[in-house]
This record gives sequence, C-alpha cells and structure tokens, in this order.
Amino acid sequence: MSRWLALLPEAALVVTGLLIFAALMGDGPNRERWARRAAEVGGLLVLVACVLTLGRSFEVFWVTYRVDAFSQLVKLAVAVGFLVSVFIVRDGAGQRDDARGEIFFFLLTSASGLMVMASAVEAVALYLGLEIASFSLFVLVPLRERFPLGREAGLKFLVVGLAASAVTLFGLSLLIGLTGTTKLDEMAVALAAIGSKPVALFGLALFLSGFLFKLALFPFHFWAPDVYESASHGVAAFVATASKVTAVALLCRLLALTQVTGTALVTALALAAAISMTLGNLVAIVQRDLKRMLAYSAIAQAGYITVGLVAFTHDGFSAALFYGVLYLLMNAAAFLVVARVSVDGANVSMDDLNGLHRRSPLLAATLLLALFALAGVPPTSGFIGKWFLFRAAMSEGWWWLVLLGAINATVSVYYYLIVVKHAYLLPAEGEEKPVPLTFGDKALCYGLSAATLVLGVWPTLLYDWASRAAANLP
Amino acid sequence: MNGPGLLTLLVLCPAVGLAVILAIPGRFPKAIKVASALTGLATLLVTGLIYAKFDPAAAGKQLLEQVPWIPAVGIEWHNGVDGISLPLLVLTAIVFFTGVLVMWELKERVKEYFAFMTLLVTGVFGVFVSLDLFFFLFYYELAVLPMYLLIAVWGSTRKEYGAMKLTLYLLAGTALVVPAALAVYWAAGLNTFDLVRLGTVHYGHTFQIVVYPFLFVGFGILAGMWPLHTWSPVGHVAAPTAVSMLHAGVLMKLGAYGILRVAMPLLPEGAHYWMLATAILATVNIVYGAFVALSQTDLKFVIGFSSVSHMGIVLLGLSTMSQDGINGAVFQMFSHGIMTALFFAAVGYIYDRYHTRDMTRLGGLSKYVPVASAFFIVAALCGAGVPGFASFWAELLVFLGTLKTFPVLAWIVVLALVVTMAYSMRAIVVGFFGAPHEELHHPADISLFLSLPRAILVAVLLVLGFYPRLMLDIIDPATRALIGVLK
Repeated sequence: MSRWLALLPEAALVVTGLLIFAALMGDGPNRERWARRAAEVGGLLVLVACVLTLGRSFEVFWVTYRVDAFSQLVKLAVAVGFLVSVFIVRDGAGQRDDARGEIFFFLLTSASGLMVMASAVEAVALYLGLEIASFSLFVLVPLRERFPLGREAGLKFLVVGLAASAVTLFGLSLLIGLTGTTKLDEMAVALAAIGSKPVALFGLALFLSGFLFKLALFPFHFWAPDVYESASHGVAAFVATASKVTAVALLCRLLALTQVTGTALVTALALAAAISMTLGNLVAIVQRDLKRMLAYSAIAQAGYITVGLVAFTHDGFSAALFYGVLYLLMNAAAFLVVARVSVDGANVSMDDLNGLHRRSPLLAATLLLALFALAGVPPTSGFIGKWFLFRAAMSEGWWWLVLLGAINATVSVYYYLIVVKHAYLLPAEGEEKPVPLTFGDKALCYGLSAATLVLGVWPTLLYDWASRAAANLP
Repeated sequence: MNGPGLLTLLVLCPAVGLAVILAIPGRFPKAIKVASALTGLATLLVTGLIYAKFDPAAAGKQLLEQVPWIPAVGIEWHNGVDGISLPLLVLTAIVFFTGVLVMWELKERVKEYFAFMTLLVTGVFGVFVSLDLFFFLFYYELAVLPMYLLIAVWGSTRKEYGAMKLTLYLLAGTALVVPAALAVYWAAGLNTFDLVRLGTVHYGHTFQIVVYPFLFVGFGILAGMWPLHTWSPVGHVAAPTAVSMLHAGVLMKLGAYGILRVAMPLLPEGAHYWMLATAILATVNIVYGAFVALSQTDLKFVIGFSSVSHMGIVLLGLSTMSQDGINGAVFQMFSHGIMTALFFAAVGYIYDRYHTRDMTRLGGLSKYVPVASAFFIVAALCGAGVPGFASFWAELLVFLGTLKTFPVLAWIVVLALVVTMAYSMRAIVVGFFGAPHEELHHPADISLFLSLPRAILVAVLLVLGFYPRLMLDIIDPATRALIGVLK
C-alpha cells in the first residue's frame, strides 16, 4: 500500500480543491478571504507532499501514469509556481469583483492539469492534462476588471489556444494511427522501427504545437504579450511560470520519442529558436508596460530554451529542464515585484518604477537580481542556465545558433538595464510613497533572490536531478 | 587535489566585505566606509601572504586549489597563480584599497556604492586566480555588470549614455568569447573546463585560425582594442573617481589577461597566424590614442585616450609573442594600472574642488594646490615614459620585443611616443603652470589623509622604476613557460 504514497501530491491537490470549493460555497463578505486562505494552506500542502514523495517511483493505472525523477521535478516546480502565484494574487486586486475568489479555484485546476501532464506517459492522458490546464486559463484571462483590452486578449488566447489544441490532436491521431499504440514508450519503440518517415515527423511536429503554444515560441507566440498585459498579475505570473516549466518538460519528453537529428523538424525548430530570440529581444526594447516587456522577454527565453532542445541529446534535455526551473524562479520574482509596485492591481509602466530603490530597497534589489538572471549575468542563475543550454547546443555543432543566442543575450541586457535605470536612477515624480510589504512579501523576496543566487553559484544538486530526470525519457 | 587555500580566501575577502556592508544599515555611512577600507586592507594582506608564499624560481602555476564543482559537465573550483597573475593580484589589491580611501568624502548613497564596488572587485580577483574556463568567464562577467550602476548613478558628464555604452560593448565581447570557449571545450573532448588540461590538447589548424579571432576580439574589446575602444574614454569620463581608477587601472587588464591566459596558450597556432594583424591593430591603438589625446581639453578625456594608447602597448607586446614583448606587456599592465589610478585620483580631487576638468579653464594650479598638482604631474611624466618610473621599463621591453619581430612597427611606435610626451606636457603646462585664471576660486591644498592613497601609488611607481626586478623576476619565469607553449 505504501507505494500509493507516491501519489500524495495529487491527493493534496484534491484536498485543496475541496477546501477552496467549500470556502466558495458561502456568500458572506469574507468569501474571498477564506478562499485565499484555503489556497495558501492547500498550496503549501501540495508543496510539502511533493517534497515528501521525492525519490519514490511508481507506475499506476495500467502504466499510463508514472511517478519518477522527471515528474517529481516538474511537480515540485508547478507547486512552487502555484503557491507563488496565489501569493501574488493576494486579494485579487485587478480581478473582476465577482470572481476574486474563483481565481484560486481555476489556478488550482490548471495546476492539476499541469501535474497530470508531468506524470502522464500515455498520449491521451497527456492531452487531457493539457486541456485541463489550458481551459482553466481560458476562463481566468478575460476576468480582468476595468481593462477593455482584456476581452480581446482573452479571445485571442482562446482562439489560438484551441487551434493549437486541434492541431495537437490531429498530430496525436497520426502518431497513434502510425504506431498502433497510445503509450509513449511503446510509441518510441515503434517509431524507431519506422525511422524518420515524413508522416511520423509530420505527426510529431503537429503534436508538439500545443506545447510550443504554451511555451510561446515563434510562431506560436502571438497571444503572449496581450495575455501578459491583460490578465491580472497573479494569473499572468502563473502563465509565465508553472505553465512554462511544464511546457519545457513535455517538449523534452516528446522530442525524445524518436531520433530526429538531421531532419527538417530540427531545422525548423532551430529557425524558430533563432527567430524567437531575435524577435522577442528586439520588440521588448520598445515596450513601456513592464508585463508586456516581460512577455517579449519570455518569447526570447523560449528561444534560448529551444537552443538547448535542438541538440537532441541527454545534455540538451537536462539543460532545458534545468533552465525551465531556474526561469520559473526568476520570473516569479519579477512578477512579485510588478504586483507589489502596482497600485490597486493596475498595470505597471516603466515610469511607475521610478525611485523604487528609495521606496522599497528590497523590491528594487529583488527586481535587479531577477532581471540580471533573465539577462544571464553572473552570479545569478541565468548565467549558468544559459551556459548549459549553449554547451549542449555547441556539442552538436549548432555554433551559429549559440553565437546568435549569445549576441541576443547582450541585446537583452539593454532593455533590462533600462528597467534597472528606472528603479535605481530616476527619481519618482512627486512625493516618494513607500511600498508597503507584508512579512510574507519580504520572505518571498528574500527566498526567491536567495534561490537565484545560490543556484547561480552552486547548481550541482538541481542539475544532477534534471540530468536524472532526462535520463529515461520518454 | 588540494583543498581551498589562500586564493579562495582572497576571493572571499571582498565577498565577505560585501555581506558586511549589506548588513550595516545605510544610516551609518562612516561604518560602511570603514568596513570597505578594512576589506581593502584584508585583500592587501592576503595578497601579501600570497606574494610571500610564491616561489619566483619555479615556473608554472602555484598555490593550486582543485575541488570538483559540477562534475557532470567538468566544472571545477580550480585556482592557481603564476608570475603573470600575481602582479595583477597585487595591482588589484592596491587600486581597490586606494580607491576606497579616495572616495572617503562620498555622501550620496554610500552603502550601495561600496557594495557594488566590492562586488566588482570580487569578480576581478576571481578572474585573476581562476584556472577553470567556466569560472573565469563567470567572474569576468561579474566584474563587468556592477559598472553600469556605478557609472550611471554616481558618475558625471553623460553618465547614462557612457554607462550603457560601456556595458553593452563589454558584454558584446563576452558574446564572442562564450561560443568560442564552448567550441574549444568540445573540440578538446575531455569534458573539462580546466584551462591547464585544455592547454595540453592540440587543436586542428583551421579550428585555431577560425576561433582565435573570436577570443582575441572578444577579450580585446575590454582591453580597449581599436576600433572597438570607443566605450573606454566615454566610460572613464562618465565614471566617478574610484570607478575610473578601478576600470582603467584593473578592468581593462582583464581583457589583456584573457588573451594571455585563454586565447594564446590554448590556440598558439591561431595566435601565430594572426600575429601581424593584431600587431598592426595594436600599433593603430598606440598612434591613434596618442593623437586623439593631444586634441582633448577635458583632462579625463586626455587620460581616457592615453589609456587606449597605453593598452595598445600591452596588445603590441602580446602580439610579438617574444620573451621581451610579453614580459613588457605584463609589466605594462601592472605599471599602467597604478599610473592610471594615480591619474584619475589626481583629476578626481581637482574636479571635486574646481568643478571643472577643462585644462583651458584651469591654469597655474601648481602655485595654489602644489601637492594635488604634483600627483597629476608625476602620473603624466610616468605616462610619457620618463625613466625613473615603472612604465619606462615596461615600454622599453615592449619596444625591444617589437624591434626584433616587427621593426617597422617599432619605429612607428617610437614616433608615437613623442606624441605621448607632447600631450603629457601640454596637459601639465596648460593646466598646472601658465597664467592662473582670474575667475578661478582656489581651494585649500589636498589634505594629508586624502593624499595618502595617491602617495601610495606614487611610491609603487617609483620603487618599481628604480628596481624593476622586483616584478620582472616574478614575471620572467612565467612568460618563459608561456613562450615554450607558443613555440
């Protein structure tokens, strides 16, 4: 029986769901507050459950659901992302008044979908997880208050997302038809026998699109700037962190399905990575809205991650997984600062950051570290993360992609430094109002900054874990 | 395998100092300054210990430390010093300590300033002791980034522009270096970033020829290589005094050191192939920098372009790939570091008190502030290569090396040295002698405390000017070993 303890995180998810649901049943004035408490406690439970089950391995439900180093890494990351997002949401400022409590429930369902994806080793289960994760977000994104653009962004997200989902399903059906199985490891064996037939590659490419959409890699990136800008801070943070890291992980798993080196699929991915990096970084330069800038930066980061993926080696998958987790932490820190600087949930422009180093030295320092990490400057984790990605790509001779990536990292420093300039250099207009921070805010700032620094200098444990996770894919 | 020792301690000194500075609340600026000065003193002490333990007779790396760090990808905590890095460690410690003292009167955002400064110094020490290519580049970039804030927040004259330009240029340099470093790593196929082991591999001829320019140009940007030097004068002018000191004095040496430690030993055939091209670039550096310095009136711009010119001498010495040339280059790295630090420290005082650095608006300063003027004049004489100062020997050695390898370039350089003399004299005569300006309000001369750091720098220049063997005996065995690899 003790084997079933490996499913503790999922059990904790169910309990959290029930807690939030119960809190939302009431209609008193404290309804949102109870939901928030439930989500915080539940999120903590899930996190603890994830930590407690580390090292276990288990296969269940007729070998469609597997718990191993891979799923545990992703689940832990998703749990952290969920908890931080709940924390960023706080009282749901910026969310429509009648949906301030519901935001927690839908974040939870989305997190559950992501966790299912992490463990699913069967294509249909995987697809169901993808849909659960996406549909919850389709609901959340348009629920922004006083933000007319929100509806457009919600619609764009929905339409592009559903299109990607349909394409994914079509690709899946091709793969199933070709191999006669829905289990990923059997599929891998069958695909190896088939070789790199065009139809297999075509099916795989279509199957990937749903995950590339979540990663916001060119040409699946159109939704990202609008969604980041229009969704409330907590929701945007979830889309940018937990959802991203799962997409990276699943791309590793699916790309490991078959040996594709030297095919058109690899060339296409490499080009997508090159365009994604360049486009994201160049367009980010002219942004004035901080979240919109982070969205374009995310498109560029998706490009860096894909640079690691196109190596199609164990090193490359490890580096991508590793970077996904680092990215979650640095991005979470950036969104936390955005949410706290924001007044009443409104969007934050560059000018709103002016004088931040006086108004809140801690937030300014957290932002500084997060941006340096995104830019890939030591001693933050971004440097070593990009080093591993580029190292992996270079081993397969992708020198032009690595060179382009390194140049892009330099370009990105420009717009990150402009943000730093606003926070550290320019004085605030009018009187400088200190930013109020709770104890939890401070703890989270210190925690995320410490993680960014420690992982930047001593990533050995996490990298070894990512390496083990990537060892027995798919 | 040796555990961590003195070299780790040296890198930890400023890192611990940084932690202490961060822990002191910002309302005690005096305590923060004392903590920074103590950090500087500690690095000086540890450097002294390293100097004492170092055996000049033995070539090769000493005080080795080697601890696995990320075994899966071959990254190690691997440190060591030889006769090339030791002078640079001494240089960094001196410039850091004197830099803290020079900034004693700073009033604005004291805590952040000294925090960023110690972070910068951590990176610089790290580069000079590191024998692992990953950590080398890790520290290299670590040293570059605090510069942006140091210049943008505390600087003067077009500071935001200067800071951004400097940061982007230097990071563009690393964008060339990182792919090249990874290419070398995979070409060696040893799954190690250990510079010593990477140096034992023979890389293919074509590979060396293709990759070497990436490393040379990438590192060369930080060394102020023409035509990618334009960030340097602009950045120096914009930076506050101690940052200019550290930047021109130490940071530019990181670039030359990168060429010396990474590019040349790993890819000797590439270095041979490109040696004429790099020597010509270096000569352009020397001549161009000297002529531009001749036409400047802002004293900091004069120094900025003189740095470009003097770093050209370093690059030229490296390009000769001869014993004399490389000895001279390393010695020039040291003496130019001290000299430029003195230059910027001297101008810093004048700018603080007169609020101008335009030599045409100054004049006759030596009459009113004789000691403060003397510091500038000493630096200018040293820059002009007058015997009795350390630079004289360094430039002489590079000249001798060049004369054997590239005689034509050597004569061009000699002519450029005349121009160097001219711009130094012009600055001295126009700014410090001549008729004093009527409207100029003269302050009191420099205080004893503020002249202490500047006097230390003058003393170092003089001691090495009269007894250069103190440095050269350390440098020589190391360059001999390097020449052995290059052959």
